[in-house]
Amino acid sequence: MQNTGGAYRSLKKFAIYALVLLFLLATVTACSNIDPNVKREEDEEGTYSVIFGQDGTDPDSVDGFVAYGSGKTGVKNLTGVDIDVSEFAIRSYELCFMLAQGNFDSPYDLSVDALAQYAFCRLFFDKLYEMPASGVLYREATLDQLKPKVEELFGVSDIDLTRSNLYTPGRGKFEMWQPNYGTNIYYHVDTANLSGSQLVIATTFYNEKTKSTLKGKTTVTVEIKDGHPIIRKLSSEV
Amino acid sequence: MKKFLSSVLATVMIVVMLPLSSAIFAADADVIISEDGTFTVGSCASLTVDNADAIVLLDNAVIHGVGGSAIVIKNGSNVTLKLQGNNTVSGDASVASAGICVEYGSTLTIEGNGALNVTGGKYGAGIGSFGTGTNVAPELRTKVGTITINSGSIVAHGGANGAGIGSGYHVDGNLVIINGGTVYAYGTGGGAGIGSGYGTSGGAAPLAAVGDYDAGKIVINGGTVYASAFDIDFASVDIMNPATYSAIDKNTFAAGIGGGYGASASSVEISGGTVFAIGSCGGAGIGSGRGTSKAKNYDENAFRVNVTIGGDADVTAIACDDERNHKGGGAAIGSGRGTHTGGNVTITGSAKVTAIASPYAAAIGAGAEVSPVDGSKPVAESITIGEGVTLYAAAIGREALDTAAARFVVADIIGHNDEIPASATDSEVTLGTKTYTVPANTLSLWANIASVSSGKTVSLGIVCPKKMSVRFEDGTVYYGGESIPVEIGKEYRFQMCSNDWDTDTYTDDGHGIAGTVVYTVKVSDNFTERSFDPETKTFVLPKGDPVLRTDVNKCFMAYRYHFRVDYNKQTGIEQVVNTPLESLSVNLPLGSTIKSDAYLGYKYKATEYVFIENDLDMTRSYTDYNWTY
Repeated sequence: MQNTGGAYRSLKKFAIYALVLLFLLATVTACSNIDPNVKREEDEEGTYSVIFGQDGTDPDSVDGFVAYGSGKTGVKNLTGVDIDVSEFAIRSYELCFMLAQGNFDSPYDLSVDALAQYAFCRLFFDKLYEMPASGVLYREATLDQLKPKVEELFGVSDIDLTRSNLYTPGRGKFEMWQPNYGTNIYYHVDTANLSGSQLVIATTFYNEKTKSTLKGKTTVTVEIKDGHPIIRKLSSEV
Repeated sequence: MKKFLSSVLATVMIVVMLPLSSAIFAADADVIISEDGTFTVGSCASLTVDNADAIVLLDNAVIHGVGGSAIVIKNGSNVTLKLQGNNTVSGDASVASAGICVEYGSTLTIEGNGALNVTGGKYGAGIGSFGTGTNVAPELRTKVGTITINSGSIVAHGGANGAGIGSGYHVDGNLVIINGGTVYAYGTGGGAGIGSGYGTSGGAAPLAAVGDYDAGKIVINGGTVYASAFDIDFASVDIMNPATYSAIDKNTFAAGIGGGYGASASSVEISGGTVFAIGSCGGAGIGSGRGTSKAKNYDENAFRVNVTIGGDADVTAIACDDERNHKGGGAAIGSGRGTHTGGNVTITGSAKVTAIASPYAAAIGAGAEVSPVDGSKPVAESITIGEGVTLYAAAIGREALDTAAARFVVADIIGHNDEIPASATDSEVTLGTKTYTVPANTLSLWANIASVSSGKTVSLGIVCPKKMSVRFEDGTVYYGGESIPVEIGKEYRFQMCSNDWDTDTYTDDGHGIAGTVVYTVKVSDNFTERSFDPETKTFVLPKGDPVLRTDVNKCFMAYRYHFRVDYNKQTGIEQVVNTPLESLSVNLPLGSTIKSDAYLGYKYKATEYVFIENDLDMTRSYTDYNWTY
């Protein structure tokens, strides 16, 4: 009797998994206009019920690195400006885990060294996780390039970036060995709530696509400045 | 009785006869190799290679000879000494002995990436022969075997009256060949840096007059060679300012490269490499040692000087003299004071030569004083300088070149002897690109100033903080103690990396972490310039001591991890300290982000990400990181 009952439960379990798989395939097929490197399920308002890696696409099989997201990853409209929630979830990852700037109430709280390095990388890569993970590459940039990038990212223009270690005053430019940040990112956007003039995005990051171990959590606050979304503050738990 | 036996046993040295292809690390052993083969030898009481062709890997060995030389190569042995790590070797300072004694008929070849610091014993050379306190007739003298240096970092000091590399007291040199490596050789008490030990002051003539002893043949084809008749910090020498070195001259009367006191230099051939030689008080920079003013002590027929410089050699030779006796000293290249001739000096090819004489000696030619033979002014027998040569020569109170040499061939009159108005005080004179501090009463400067050499390479030594490395733009990672060939004047960019502590290496596949700050290093075309320009993060190093020291505050930050109570609590750092440790202090590159983990009793507790940057107090190279556990 016990064996019969076990077989029934297994069959039922299999049927549920098959339904979930079908649902996943349908969802991914519908997402034809998204960044091919950002795999996400448009499950914005629904309850999170997707198991990583069961959409038929193995992120590890894609050339380069991928950000593999789920949850409330869609677009939010903040004071008339559409904001890609995934984009800011990923930025929060970059700041927290790549630059170790996981907690700041204002961009002015950021380390100038880290801020300059982040903006520097952003001059060459829109997504830092796509950077190479190995090799040595010399990069240089001018203050005139970096300042607008900082303003674009954080909405501030009066931070003295030349205090950064990356600035070489004798040559009048910033120099950097390109960091090897390349990695896969596995995340789930838990909430993306509009609050007045701010959008607050809470994201959970995992170490692997199976979501078996927690890497950390971030809460990033986004505002609109001069018609563009910028990060106002960030908190994290790792 | 029991106590007596114990004492006897304790004093008996262990003698180890090494079989083929074996290793020995026994500090008390007298190691004897008497069969052909490859051997690894660590610290021991002594090492002897007897009638064998052997490759000996000297592995972080410390060997201090007691009652003799530390290492003896004899009876027709041919030994290749491969250096690994840091090795220290010395002869017995109370007994006639060398550091490494290469007996006549045997050969020694030194190579490898490691270092050797070797010092001769009493009367002995650092590397070469032992010596004797008794003057010996030529036909009865001890001879030295052949010494070849292909690579490695070598510092050789002569024992009392011995050469750094060559022969000991009252012993003729034979053959020293340097093809590569970085070599510092210092003579002691009349011994040359490279060449012969103290020959004679002539008191035993005619048994052995001044000039009878000889440095043998010295061949330099490559490498970076520093050779001085006395212990001196080469980095402190400003060759354009004689006061910086003559004031510290130790009056040993020997040449930097060539003869010891009273010894000839029958054959010095330099065809490549970077060479810096300093003679002392009457000894030439490159050439013979000091002679004598007394005819009865001098052997006119035996004394000889022959120096040939060619190829792309970069040679600097200076003769020191503290002017204590105000009689002048040795030529920079040629003979020492108190000889009858400056010998033969030939400089050809694309060689670059800087020669600064001591007072009243020629820069190239004869030393000061009158000939001991007939009281005439000594001059060179021949001086030949080819048209491709870049030469700067300066002399005080005398023509820089012996234009009165019996044969004086200088292509197209490429230089000139400038008459300097006699001045009662020191002054500065600029010839071409060089500014020379002219001591009072200088009469002449001679110079052929060509463009600064470019494209020449030197070996850049690397010094790293513990568990760190540097990576150059071509992707090559270098560790402390390694060296890299670099072009003089060319800038090289590099980054700092933390190594994986388990392997002490950096690779891009998860072993270690790289920084983002860009540093630059350049070897300058002089022997003294050493600086760090914070405006460009550029290290400028003298070609006289091209060592890149990254163990300085601006290149890394040491993070010291603390717990509220440190007992049984550990820190791990991903890719760096993969095995968590207590009391952790980790050297980390600026601009990197590390993932630090806290452990309680090796059980994971928490993680923090840290961006590595300078301490607010820029004079500090460490940051204290406090866990809350």
